Amino acid sequence: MKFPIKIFRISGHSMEPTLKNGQLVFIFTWFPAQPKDIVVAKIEGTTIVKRLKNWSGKHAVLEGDNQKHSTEKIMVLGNSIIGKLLIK
Amino acid sequence: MKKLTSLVDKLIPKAHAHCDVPCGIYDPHRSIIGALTVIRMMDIMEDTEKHIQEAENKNESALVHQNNMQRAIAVKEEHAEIVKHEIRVIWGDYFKPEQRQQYEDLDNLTHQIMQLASKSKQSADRKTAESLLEKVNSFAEIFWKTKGIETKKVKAPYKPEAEIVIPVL
Repeated sequence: MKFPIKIFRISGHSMEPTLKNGQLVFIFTWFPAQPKDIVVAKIEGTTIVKRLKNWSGKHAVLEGDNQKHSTEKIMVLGNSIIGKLLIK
Repeated sequence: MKKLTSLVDKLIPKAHAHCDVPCGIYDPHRSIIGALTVIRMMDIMEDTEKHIQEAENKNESALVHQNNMQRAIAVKEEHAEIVKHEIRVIWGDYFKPEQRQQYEDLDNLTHQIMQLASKSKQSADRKTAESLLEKVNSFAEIFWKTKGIETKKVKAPYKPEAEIVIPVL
């Protein structure tokens, strides 16, 4: 059984103003993410944090909150999502 | 206390929010669009050449058509380079050694794409550009196979309306 809470430190600006560079976040891993949740996903060895826009079949569409810095959507396999933001 | 804080900080993993397509996210779609654009530009160049001929036959100024020709050539050049860049990045950064062994033709296919993209810059031969798209489509099929995602071929909904490979999501 996986541990319910994971802690990460934010690196970068694509989720500002919601999450700032250097900020600590607590991620809840037990329940599936829903649209509008902020999620942490692991892709090809890199851990990223984005907002879940919607599900497209087995894939999750992610996007950064900072529209100046992050304008493209990213599509990832649903099982690459580690968890969703609990506390920031 | 500072040392303890520093140690704890080192133990907390980072979640990256620093770019739109983070390290590890690859998609051959841009290379497909690039190859389509090369074909489209060649078609535009062929049409524009006819307009230039017509203007010259009428002893009229062909300047506007010559301008269009130069612009189409520039865009063809740019997008052939986009194809090379995108394929090079996916081949070099995404494919693991075991995948390159599994798909034995991948390295040769990548080299062919590089050569066809260069040839497309050097010439106005539509068949070269069509071969480029065909090879890029094959590359895309291999790419999506390594992700366990099926692909299908569809007609692009815009000129040159050529067949492209897309993932089935």
